[in-house]
Amino acid sequence: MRNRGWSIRAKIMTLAVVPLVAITGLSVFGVAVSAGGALNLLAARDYEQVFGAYGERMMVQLQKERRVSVAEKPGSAALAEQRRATDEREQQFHTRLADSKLRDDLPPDQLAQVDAFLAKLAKLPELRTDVDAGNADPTAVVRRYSEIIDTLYQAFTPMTKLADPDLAALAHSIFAISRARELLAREDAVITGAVADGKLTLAEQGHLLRAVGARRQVHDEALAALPEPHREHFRQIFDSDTYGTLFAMEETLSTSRPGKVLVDAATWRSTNDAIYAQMDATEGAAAAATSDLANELGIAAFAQTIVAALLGLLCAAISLVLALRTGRSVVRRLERLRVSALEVAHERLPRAIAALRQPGALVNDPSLTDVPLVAVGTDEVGQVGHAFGAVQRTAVRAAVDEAVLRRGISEVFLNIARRSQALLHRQLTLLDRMERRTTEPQELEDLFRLDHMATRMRRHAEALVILAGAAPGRGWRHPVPVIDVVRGATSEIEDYQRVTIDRMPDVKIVGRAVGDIIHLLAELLENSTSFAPPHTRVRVFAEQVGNGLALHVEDRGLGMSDAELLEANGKLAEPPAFDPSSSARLGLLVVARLAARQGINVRLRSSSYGGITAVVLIPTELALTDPTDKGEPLGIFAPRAPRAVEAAPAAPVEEQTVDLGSGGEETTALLPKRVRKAAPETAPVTEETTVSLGTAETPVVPRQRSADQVRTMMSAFQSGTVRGRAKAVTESTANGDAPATAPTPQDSAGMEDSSTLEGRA
Amino acid sequence: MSTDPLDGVEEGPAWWDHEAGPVVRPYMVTGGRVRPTTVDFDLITYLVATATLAADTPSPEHQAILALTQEPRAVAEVASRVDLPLGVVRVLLCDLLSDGLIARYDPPPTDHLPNVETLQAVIHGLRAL
Repeated sequence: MRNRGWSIRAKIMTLAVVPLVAITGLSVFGVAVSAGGALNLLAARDYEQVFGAYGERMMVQLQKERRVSVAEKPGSAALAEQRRATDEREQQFHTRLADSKLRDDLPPDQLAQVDAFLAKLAKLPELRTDVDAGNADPTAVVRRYSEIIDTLYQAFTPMTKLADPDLAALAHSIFAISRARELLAREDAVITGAVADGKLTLAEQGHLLRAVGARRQVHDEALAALPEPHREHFRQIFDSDTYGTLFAMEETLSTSRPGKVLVDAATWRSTNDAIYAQMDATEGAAAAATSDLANELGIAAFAQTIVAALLGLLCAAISLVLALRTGRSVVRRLERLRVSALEVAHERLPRAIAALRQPGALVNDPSLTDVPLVAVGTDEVGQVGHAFGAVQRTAVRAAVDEAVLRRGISEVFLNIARRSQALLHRQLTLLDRMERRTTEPQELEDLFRLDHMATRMRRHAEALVILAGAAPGRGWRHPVPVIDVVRGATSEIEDYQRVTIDRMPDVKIVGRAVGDIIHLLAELLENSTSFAPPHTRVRVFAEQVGNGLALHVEDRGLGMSDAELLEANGKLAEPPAFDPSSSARLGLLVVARLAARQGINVRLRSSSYGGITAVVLIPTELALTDPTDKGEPLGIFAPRAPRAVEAAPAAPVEEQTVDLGSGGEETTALLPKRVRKAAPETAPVTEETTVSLGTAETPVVPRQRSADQVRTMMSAFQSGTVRGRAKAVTESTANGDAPATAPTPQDSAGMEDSSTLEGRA
Repeated sequence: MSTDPLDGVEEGPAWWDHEAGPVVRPYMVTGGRVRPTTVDFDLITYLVATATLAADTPSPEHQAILALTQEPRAVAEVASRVDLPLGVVRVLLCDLLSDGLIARYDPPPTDHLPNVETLQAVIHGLRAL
């Protein structure tokens, strides 16, 4: 369809407009039909006004002139008077006919009848001249007048052709009555002429007989056709004695021989005039009634037309309003559905699914799974809305299922990785012990190899844990020097011997970030060593910058193209969701995850050697540069308040450190607990710790004491005798930059940790 | 095993601090070397630093040993204090020795040691203290 691109609104409007046009057309047709009848009545009324009124009056005068022309001598005053009256009526008729402009609207056949009458009328002066000259006998005069009057009657016929049948019948009857009256007048003229001559000629009698026959015929027919009450009026006339007298005189004249006139002229005159007058009056009343009826019908026809037009208009208006309202409602609901569906399809659903794809998403979060119903209702629009809602719910459910599945897989990874971690941890602990026990370099070398492999395996297990979104297995509560962090990271890669570590600034990494940064650096170092040729070295150096510590891992490899660098940096800045199908650059993903977790900024860039330099910017809050910030390590060791990191522990640390050899009260208060903690583990080392701490501890008795150990004890004892000096020296040397200040916890505490650690190992 | 949660981390590390093992594995301290380059060190060999801390001292462990040997100490004590396997400490000591940062004093031969009577006398004397 060509209108497929139209909007729904346009289509619905089209549907509404088609019946509207049909209704309007029908109503116009109906109005035109009704108006035709009304217009017919209107035209008949105009015609009736001209001919019915003025023509009738003129005809009455013509009838009188006919009678007077045969009754009086030419040139008599009565004749002249009558002719003047006739002329006056004729003049009025002509004026009226011209004024009404009736001729312009008449159909051709009527126009022909009117013109024929006017032509006859124009011959009236000629007829009068003949009468005056005595050229015509009375019979011819009567005939010639009668011809004029007959043509007038023919011009009257249109008045009987009416659209309304009752009205037409009435008009026709009145026309017939009028015709009967004319015939009566014609009889009168003939008889008046005979009376004037004193004899009834044969021609006159024939003429009279035809008129009488015609009159009786016409008036019987007219009487039968007349509706009540007009018929009754006329019947009264014809039942009267006057008419009876007239009828008897007609019979006498019809049946007598031509010659002497056998009726009394005066009686004829009075009877005839009376009947004529009564007929004229009754006919006038009937005509008036007809005119009223015509008016009534005309008004009715007009009213009908107007009502029909109004009804049509009303129907059209109602249908238009209904169509518009329905259309607008449908269009509005469709529009709402459209907007809502588009919003859900392009914004809400993708957002909810993206949120569910995040590793830590709550799959039961109602803000994600609650998708709004786009439309309500039970019709087709509502059903579409419900269907769309179902589609959305299915999509969200699929996303939730996927998230649950991902989480399940993650948990499987995590579980396996945790088990590996636990085993590796035990293995490394064992290796630690073995390394300490051995004295043979060859054996130690093998142990180192094992140690290295186990360390790398531990890193891989940690990578799995990190990809699963959990924290790596190892944690630190105290800050760790950055040099140890870097070396710890280096020890976890395969080619650790290719890494050169420059002198590091005196900065410590906050405990909670140590594990992540070690792993992050290990991944970067692994990348650098594996992508650079084997004979090249990888350099790690650090510098303190305005907002933290910048660690540089610089390789001497072949580098990357700008596009690759851009892509890698993009991944580092915005860690993509873990996609198991692409494991090529998994290391980069792990780095990005860890960096994002700790707020660390990692960027790759080309180095001046052509290789890649990874710059790891550790923020200030993770890199402690304040050398007096020493509370943290000790706080962790305070057994009763392991979390009290900030405030109290500073003093005990110092004392503990300082009084290593002397066994001061405060220290001893703390020491038994530390030793007890260490006690269950292997004895010899613990014993050494005890010894180094001074005389306070005796509970742990070495089971086997070798000569070497005895010697060690003795040297410790010896060193104790010079502890005062030793203390000063240790402080100053350990804290090379500031020999005058308090002992550096960095070293002494570190050693303290180590001894404890050794004790536990 | 300490599972004390820190900073509200919902699933914290499984091993804390020393339980997690040394940050720097022993093989990393020597760069994988296990054999002393020059001479071997007996456990009771005494060591004394001939210099204070050098700015370019290679590693924290070297620094710690230098700091410890500002007064004479035996190898065993040094190893104990820096908490490293003896094999590692020996390599580190070799480094320092070859750099000339420490001096070694071997113990006198056994035949020069005091006899048992002398030692007994010393013990008695000590007990009298």
